[in-house]
Formats: sequence, C-alpha cells, structure tokens
Amino acid sequence: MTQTADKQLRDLVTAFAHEPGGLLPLLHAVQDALGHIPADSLGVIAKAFNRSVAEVHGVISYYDRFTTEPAAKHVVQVCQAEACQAVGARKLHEKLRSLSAQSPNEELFQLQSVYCLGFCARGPAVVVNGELHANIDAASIEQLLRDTGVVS
Amino acid sequence: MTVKVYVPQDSLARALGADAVALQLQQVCQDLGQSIEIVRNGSRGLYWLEPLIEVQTATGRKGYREVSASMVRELVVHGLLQGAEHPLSVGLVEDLPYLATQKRVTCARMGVTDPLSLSDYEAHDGWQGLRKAIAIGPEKVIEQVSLSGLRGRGGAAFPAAIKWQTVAQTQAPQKYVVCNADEGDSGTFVDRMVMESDPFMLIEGMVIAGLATGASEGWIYIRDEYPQALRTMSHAVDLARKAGVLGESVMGCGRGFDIRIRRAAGSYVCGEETAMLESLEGKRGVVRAKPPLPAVHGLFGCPTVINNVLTLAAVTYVLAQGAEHYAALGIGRSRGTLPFQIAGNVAQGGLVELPFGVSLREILFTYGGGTRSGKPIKAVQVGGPLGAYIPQERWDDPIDYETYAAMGATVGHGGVVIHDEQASMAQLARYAMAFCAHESCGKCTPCRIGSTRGVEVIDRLLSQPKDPGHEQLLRDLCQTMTYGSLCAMGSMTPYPVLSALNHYREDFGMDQIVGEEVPK
Repeated sequence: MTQTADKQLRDLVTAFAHEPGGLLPLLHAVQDALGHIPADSLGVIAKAFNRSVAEVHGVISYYDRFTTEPAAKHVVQVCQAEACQAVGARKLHEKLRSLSAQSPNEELFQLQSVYCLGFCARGPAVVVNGELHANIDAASIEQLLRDTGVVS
Repeated sequence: MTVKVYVPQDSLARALGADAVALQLQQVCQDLGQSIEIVRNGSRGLYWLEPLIEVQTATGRKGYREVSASMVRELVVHGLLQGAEHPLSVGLVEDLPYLATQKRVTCARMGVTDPLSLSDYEAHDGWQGLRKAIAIGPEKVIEQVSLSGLRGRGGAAFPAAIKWQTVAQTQAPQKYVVCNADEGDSGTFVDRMVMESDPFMLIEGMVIAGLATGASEGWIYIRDEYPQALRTMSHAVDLARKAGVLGESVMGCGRGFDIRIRRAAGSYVCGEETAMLESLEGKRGVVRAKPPLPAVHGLFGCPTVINNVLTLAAVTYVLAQGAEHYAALGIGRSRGTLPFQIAGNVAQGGLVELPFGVSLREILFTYGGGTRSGKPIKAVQVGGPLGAYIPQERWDDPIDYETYAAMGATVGHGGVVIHDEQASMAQLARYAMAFCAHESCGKCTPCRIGSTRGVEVIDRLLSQPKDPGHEQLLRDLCQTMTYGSLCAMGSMTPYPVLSALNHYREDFGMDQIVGEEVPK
C-alpha cells in the first residue's frame, strides 16, 4: 500500500472500529476508497476488531463484493439471473467475453457476473463502471462499451 | 405559467435513460422560454412504459411513454407541456387499466410523490399509521396487526403479529427491529421500489414495529446491488430524524427509535434471516440453527423482529385504515394484497398489486400481455429462484399461500418470471443447482455438497438421457436436499429442478412417462 492508502485505511478503521457489526461497513469503505481491500491491510483491520487475520480473510472471501485483487480500469457487470436469462443474458455474457478477450490485457477490462439488480421487468441489466443500464442486448452492448470508452 | 413535469428518478427508469431526458427537457424548455418545474418522482411500476414522463394538466397527469432524450425537443414543440396528443401519449396515467384495476395499498404513492418530500408524504396519508399506533399503544397495535391477517411477505408467510408478540413478551434491555431488504430473488423488485419511491413508508412501518415491541433500534439490511436504494433510504432517515419521527422521542411520544442502514455484500443466502443477522454482526453470512428464534435471541443475542420490507410497509396501512380493511381483501388464510412483479420475457412487465386470489393467467396475460418476444409462453417461475415452474394446467388456480403450497409451489415474494421458447428447462434446472452451489453458506452437507453433485448429476443425465439411473439419483438427491438442509435455500432448490424435470422432460432429452402419474 502507498502511504496515502495506508493513511486512508487507518482513518477508516478508526471511524468504523467501534460501530456495532462494523467490519462489513469498514470493508465496504476501504474497497470504495481503494478499489479493493489490500492484502496487507488485513492485519490492521483484524487488530482493530480484535479478530484474527484468518477471520477477516474469511469474511472477505465469503462475500462476492469484496476482493483483495486490485480493480481493473474498466469493470463490466452483467446480470445472469433467471429473469435476465429469459431475455438473452447468456448470449450477452458470451458477447462480452469475446469483447473482453479482444482487450489487450486483463487489467483493462474485467467482466463479472452479478445476480439481480432489480431490473427484471426490462432486462438484460448491465453495469459499466458503476453506471446502470437496462434493456441491453448483444447488439447494443458493443456500442455502449465504445461510447463509454471501455473498448476502442 | 409553470408546468409541472414528472421524470422518474427510479433506478430502472434511469437505467433506461430518464436522467438524459430530464437534462434535455431542462435545456429545451430553457431554449424555448418555457417555464417548467421538473419533479423527479418515483416509478409507477409500469416499467414497459419507462421512461414515463407525466405532465400536470387541468384534467390530471398525462403520460408519454418510452421517452428518449432525442425525442424531447419534438415532444415539447408538439405541445408536451399542454398534454397534447402524440404517438407516445398514453393519456391520463391514472386511467390506464393496468394501473386503475390494481389495488394499490402498499404501492399507493409510488410514482405519485417526490420520494424524499416530507410534505408530499404527509399530504398522501403519511405518518397516519404511526400517529394511530402512538395513540392506541403497543398491545392494541399488535392486536390490529393480528386482526389484519398480515403474514410475512418475504416468502415464509409467518403471521407477523405472532412474531411481534413474541418479541414484545421477551424481557431484555435491548431489542431490535431488522428490515430484510436483501431482495435477492430474480424477478423481484418491489422492495427496491419501496426504498427508492416511498422510503418514508418503510421508516414508518419500522417505527411502528419498534414502539409495539419495545425495540429502540431498527436496522435495514439493503442489498449491495441496490446502490440507489441505499442512498435514498439513508437520505430519508436523515430527513425523518430532522422531522422528529426518529430520535429520542418519536413525534414527542417520549419513547425513542432510530434506524441504521447496513449494506450487504453480494450473498444471496444473506436474505435468509439468520444468515442476515450473522452478516449484520460483521461475520460470514452462515445460517444459524433454530431454535432459538430470532424473536427471542436475534441480533447480538437480543430479541429481534425481522420483517421483509413489504410486511413493514403493509403495517402502515393496517394501522392507518384499520385492520378490517386489510383483512377484507384476499382469500382463505391469505389476507390483504401482494404486489406481484411481472418479469423476464414479458411484454408489459412491472408492479401489479392485487388482493390474493387473482389467477396466474390474469397476471400473465391481462397485465403482462404475454411475452416480449411475441412467442408463446414456455415456462413461468413464481416465487423466485426457489420457486416451481407452474404448469399451464394450474394457471387458473387462485394465487394464495395455501393453494400454491399444496401444489408443491410457492408464492414467495411475488415474483413472476416468464420464459419463452429460448429457454432450455434443462439449463435452468442446472442453473438452479449451480446457483445454490455458488451461494451456499457451506454449513450443511445436503446443500453444500448436494448442489455441487446436483450440477454433476444433471450433466450426466443430459449426456445419457435414456439411462433411468441418473433421473433416479437426481430425484433421490433432491429428496435429501429437501428434508436435510438447514435452510430454505438448500431445501427449496429442488422446486425448480423437479418442476422442470416433471413438466419439461423433452428439454432433458428424456422420453415421456406413459400411462403413469408424473412423480412429484
């Protein structure tokens, strides 16, 4: 971690250590601020909550949202749950996979499956770098990714 | 003269372009010297029309459907602000049959009001339930909830009053109300709509629950995949505090209640109440054995009321209008209304709140309008990913908890997902097992291992569909999961799997069973 990141981490830990059930709010805050939960932050976090590093690792690894891997420059999430599958979400995922394979390296474009954004009446649902989109299909997704600079 | 124009801020409306529409509307009206007031309302839940723009006219609010930013200039030039006729006109929104024939008890304000306007909320019967609750006292409140027949709307359908009574009777220095807003079922979105489009209603319901049971703190566990709901509820809680609804003395009654918002982290099983408690306590969302019930030993070991968003929302109506009005709706032991959510491959998807007793056919066709693709409906899953695919011969049955349970199905949280011919029921059955394996908390073997093996057995069955041994093993496995799992996720994953197997054998490449009853 950089010095800046370390300071950010410690400030957040101070803010959340005494919140009841504060570990998840802290992990969210760290990931929101730094893009991921740095592996070398676990010691500080564990100590603040009087839990073991293994336990903190256990919490992080349990939840799909949390990761110790640095985020890619572009993150595209596509819903793969039943209602979106009913309107072609699998095909959309395949299309996205082929687009991401064309991307020069994985650090640029990461594709994730998510399960339900609540857009089930107008699927498929896609999130591009935090921006929500609905009624997307394999045809419109490529244009969307070009418009948002995810692919060139 | 300033014209009021409503452009929804609902996250799905925004995902369909509502923000760009609002921006363009502002710009165009400025250019043309037209004075407008844009109100970012909630969604009416007629998602097939979104972005649905409404213009206030002398006769009511006139709607324009599926408005895109590129259409705005033309619309304004052609008299949008006067409610003029246009190919995109839908007429008076409140006269639309889809809306007008519903019984909007819980969803009455959605799309009507500005979600974060306290004055709008007051003007539309807001806080009446809470005022009544304060006036009549805790015992009478629980009595009203009991008389209403309200059952948990998360899916378990447990009588709300019994839960509240248990907590009220349990002595403890601290008690909690926890709202389960981890609406993880594909095909459901009404909780999202409540939080985004009528957040004060949820707050009101929680305060009523707190005062009735002696809980001083409410927690709302909101799924991570609902960022706007998280923001809106947070903002609404701040406003409610400023208005004196939350704090040390609720509306000056002398008893306190306040709310914390907690963000979930992408785990479906954390919608199970005890896994949710573990998550709130900062741990892995692993299911707890019951007993003890959360009502006795819940959050941090304290007596806890856990209710779904809709259950708490319904409470405000029960208290404001009287239990008998709620109980008068519905059939059998399913009293009141359920906001059904029509989703998937549907022409007119959205929120349809109706009393129990409506048939699935009416929901699919009269409201849903059949498929979006125009092809025939192939399969309908009711009650979420753990719900059964309802065979066509049962589409006329009245929807209520008991009727659906008796046919091996579930009403759940009211989600209705429509599939057309592009669905492979074998793939959906496999997905049900794969999803369970991915989301399993890992504690119990029938779920953790059963779902993993379930994927493998289905794959073997699909590669050798004529070998009866695979089907026998799959059914055996499903029985183990049904009776051996610790929670509903493991025990109900067999519902979609077996209903797919029973009613769509051809998708699995299997022969029809001839001259025998279809095994359950």
